Amino acid sequence: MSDHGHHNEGHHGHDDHGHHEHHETFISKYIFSQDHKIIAKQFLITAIIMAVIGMGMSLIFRLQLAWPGEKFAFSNFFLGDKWAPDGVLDPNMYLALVTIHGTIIVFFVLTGGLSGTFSNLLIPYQLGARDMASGFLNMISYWLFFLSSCIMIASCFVETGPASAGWTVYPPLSAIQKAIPGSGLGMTLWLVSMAIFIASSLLGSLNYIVTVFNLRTKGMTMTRMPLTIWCFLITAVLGVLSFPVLLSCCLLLIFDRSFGTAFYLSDIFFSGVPLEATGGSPLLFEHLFWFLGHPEVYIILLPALGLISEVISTNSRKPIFGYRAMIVSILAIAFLSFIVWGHHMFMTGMNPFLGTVFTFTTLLIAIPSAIKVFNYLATIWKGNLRLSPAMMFALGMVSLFISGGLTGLILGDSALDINIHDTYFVVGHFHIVMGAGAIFGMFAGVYHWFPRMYGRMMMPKLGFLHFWMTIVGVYGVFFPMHFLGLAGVPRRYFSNEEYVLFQDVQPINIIITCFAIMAAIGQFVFIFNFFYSIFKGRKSNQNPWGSNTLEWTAPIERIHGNWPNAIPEVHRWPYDYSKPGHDTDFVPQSVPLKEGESDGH
Amino acid sequence: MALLIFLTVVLVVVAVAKIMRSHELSTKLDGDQADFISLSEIKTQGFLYALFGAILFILIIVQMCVWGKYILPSSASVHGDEIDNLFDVTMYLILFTFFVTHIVMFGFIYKYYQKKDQKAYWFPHNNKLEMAWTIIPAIVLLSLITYGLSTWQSVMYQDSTKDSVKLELVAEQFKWTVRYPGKDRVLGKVNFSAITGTNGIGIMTSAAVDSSLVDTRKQIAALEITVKELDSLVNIGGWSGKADDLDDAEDNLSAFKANERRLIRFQEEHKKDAAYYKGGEDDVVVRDTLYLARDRMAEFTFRSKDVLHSAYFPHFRAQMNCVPGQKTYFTFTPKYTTEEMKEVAASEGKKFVMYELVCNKICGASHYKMRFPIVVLTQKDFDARIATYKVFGDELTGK
Ligand code: HEM
Ligand SMILES: [Cu+2]
Ligand SMILES: [Cu+2]
Repeated sequence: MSDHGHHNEGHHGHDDHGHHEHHETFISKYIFSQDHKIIAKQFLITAIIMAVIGMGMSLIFRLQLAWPGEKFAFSNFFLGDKWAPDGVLDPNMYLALVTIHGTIIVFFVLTGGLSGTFSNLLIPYQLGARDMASGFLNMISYWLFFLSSCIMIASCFVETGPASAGWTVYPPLSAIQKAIPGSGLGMTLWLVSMAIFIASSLLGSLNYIVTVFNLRTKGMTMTRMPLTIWCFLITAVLGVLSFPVLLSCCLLLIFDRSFGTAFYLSDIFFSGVPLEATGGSPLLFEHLFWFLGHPEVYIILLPALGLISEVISTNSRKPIFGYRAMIVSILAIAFLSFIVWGHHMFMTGMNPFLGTVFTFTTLLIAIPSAIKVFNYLATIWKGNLRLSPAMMFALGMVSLFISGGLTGLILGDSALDINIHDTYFVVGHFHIVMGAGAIFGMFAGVYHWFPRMYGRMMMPKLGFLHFWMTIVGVYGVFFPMHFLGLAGVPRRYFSNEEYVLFQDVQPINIIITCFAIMAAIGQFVFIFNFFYSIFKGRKSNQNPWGSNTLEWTAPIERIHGNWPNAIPEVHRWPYDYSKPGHDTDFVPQSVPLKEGESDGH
Repeated sequence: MALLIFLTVVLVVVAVAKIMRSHELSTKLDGDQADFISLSEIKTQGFLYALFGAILFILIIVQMCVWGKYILPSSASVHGDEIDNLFDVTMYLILFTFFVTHIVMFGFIYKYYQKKDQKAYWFPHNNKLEMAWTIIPAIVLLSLITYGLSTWQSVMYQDSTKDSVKLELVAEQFKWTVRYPGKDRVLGKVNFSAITGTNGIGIMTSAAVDSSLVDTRKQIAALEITVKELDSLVNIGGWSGKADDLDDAEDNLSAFKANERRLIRFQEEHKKDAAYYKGGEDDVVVRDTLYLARDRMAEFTFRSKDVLHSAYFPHFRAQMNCVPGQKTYFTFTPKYTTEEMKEVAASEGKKFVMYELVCNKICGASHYKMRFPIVVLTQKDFDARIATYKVFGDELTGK
């Protein structure tokens, strides 16, 4: 195997097809590129780096949780003598790590990274468009994302430490600079980084929406769009409607911190001083935050569900079951996700009547979620399941979505939430459904579309190894957390030893940490496989999975404009797998209907 | 531990190396156009998936048996039983759904993994099925909502009983303070302006307001001197190193001045209506333990002095955030004294040493240490216990 990596990236596009005359320098091609495919890869690689950082942080605090007070050279190596003297983690740094871990995974990996990679890669390809509506804004979107990532990382190196008020940064803890060291410069940088991140996300989302509405190829009606595109579209709409609210939420916090306003502060007596700020309310912050915060969890989840819809259908060699029901469910979830945010606030002192309303809406959201699960199960029924690594992860995500969604029924019921709010039960719930669930969707996407991105295959056997280490790790880490939660153990505790109540639960914490270490090691299998395969992977053919969607009708080589000649025209929906009356078990969307054949779904 | 990690890493590296070898061999053999994943590999994976499912189920059941004893013992409050029932019903439903859907999923994976002559069945949709699995979850969920909300209603809107105790719990970094109403059974007025060293939670009696005003004026005087000194340092020497200190001092000065204005206003109100501020005189402030009386409704008011905290009473199925600038409420009735609870827990095979109050909202570096012991006594013991504390009016004047 010769070194083909470079070929795929560029030359072919020019030499063979002469489609694009203007000359590309290295910088315009790989750095300030406006090509959606390159931008997708930039997002992916940035997200992988951020994910490794986020995961490393979690290992450090997991060590502390399992063996509190023990000395770990590992912690000392990364944090130095100030934050981990002798390798014993400092309680302030514990909170800082938990905060930055959450922020990085939620926003930088699963929002920026996931949507950024796959919306960019697939929206133009699957719609038969030559690129995004605005390549320039798309490029800006990536570079703002990059900048905000850098600021977030830089905030870890300031003297007083990074933001430490939890990823939800509730004031007054985050507003009073001396309440915790991390609420000094670290918090300022956190807010600046998030503001830039939001700008990036908005530019990206607007671009996705405009592209979907305007740049569909001939014949690509809305109901012939793959579910991936539907999910990306709705995700972008959610983002555009909710991220601005987070921006104002953060701006008001900046005002409270730096300019003496009192949006979130009132009647505070801090370190001997009755603060001047009166008239504000922390509840205002919580409402604003969760008005974004809940849609945010679907901003994370929907793209992942979109990816696995495609992966499951293709690899089952069967149409996705209930295409229209899936679309309606996505729309219902999106709509409901705007009116459930109060379920994060049952215990905040909000009027209990609001608790009633939010319980009602929250539990309703389980209906469309259940429909989706049943539809996935119906899709694999009587299929011919090609258990590729992507398919393994996609099925794993279905399992995680079931497990985590079901515990949501407990949390969403206000009466039950009284006793488990802010315990490890919540941590177990959202890591399974959102953390691991979306990561599984992302892995499924990477394994599936790797050949589309790099013209090569990832090694399946390593993929399987990675899958098994990950799913065993995920269930081993997050399932036992439910027991901790039911024992009353609160989240964001540096150690449980202060309480008589939690004296005996330590074995659970040790087991969790062991699984976490194993899962982390497993991720290096993926990273090795990923980077090795970029350069040395087995070359793929144009349509390695036998898929129907348009991205596989474009040549392997990366060219500007995606298709050398005319863009393909669409004649059917994307799920004609194993359709009776055809010789092959797939019929690409660009194949005209046979005489008398109905566009059947 | 390090050894274990080392072994895992070695194992994984060996596995990766082996896989790479076989991968390269197979690449050479198959040529480029062959299937990328062989049927025999798929068979192995299908089998592994089913095996994983079986092991997952077994381990879940094992966990429930082994760790079940860590789950909190049955409720120590009256309303908690309703919550526990709702929890059990929901949990059975969830476990049932979990097992059924997973058995179906693992079963399908095992049954339908790719085989040589297997054909997938064309089945794009089916209205009847889709209706069924829309309507059935809808009915189940609507009943769950109804049940859940009726429980919520009865927990959150408990009517005061004749003999209920109204008490207040105040949180601050990183400790708790309880206040009982004293003989008059009303909690006196509070305001953060009245907080001083001896009046940690800002009870507003006439004497307390006066003494806070004295304190505030002392602070103002001291701060004015500090500001002047720093001002000259910063301005004359151009010594910017002190600029932050100056900012802080100025902020504090204006904060205390605002406090002074508020206190003066309170003083004037006092003069008009002295009775209004009497309630606090006989309040009892307790700083080491939360005492509760069995079978007597405790109507809590929560406050916070600085950041958000959450008062979490795991054994009583009760929780409420403590919010600066706002009062929040929760009511429950303890059912067992601490001693009785030991027996209840023991009869369920669970360990119980004492009731504890847990801070459950991230509030700073020592959040994890912000615990408070709770003791539930019989009515008689409770009264005797509270009687050992001074009332606030006396405490303040040092009587
Ligand atoms: C399906 C995807 C879901 C995602 C991605 C998700 C995500 C999350 C996240 C991130 C949190 C933690 C917030 C925090 O406390 O910091 C959370 C909590 C919660 N989730 Fe979910 N969830 C999902 C499904 C559900 C479902 C189906 C329900 C209810 C039917 C639900 C109900 C809740 C509730 C009530 C909380 C708040 C619990 C508490 O703070 O005490 N979730 N979820
Ligand atoms: Cu939510
Ligand atoms: Cu606290």
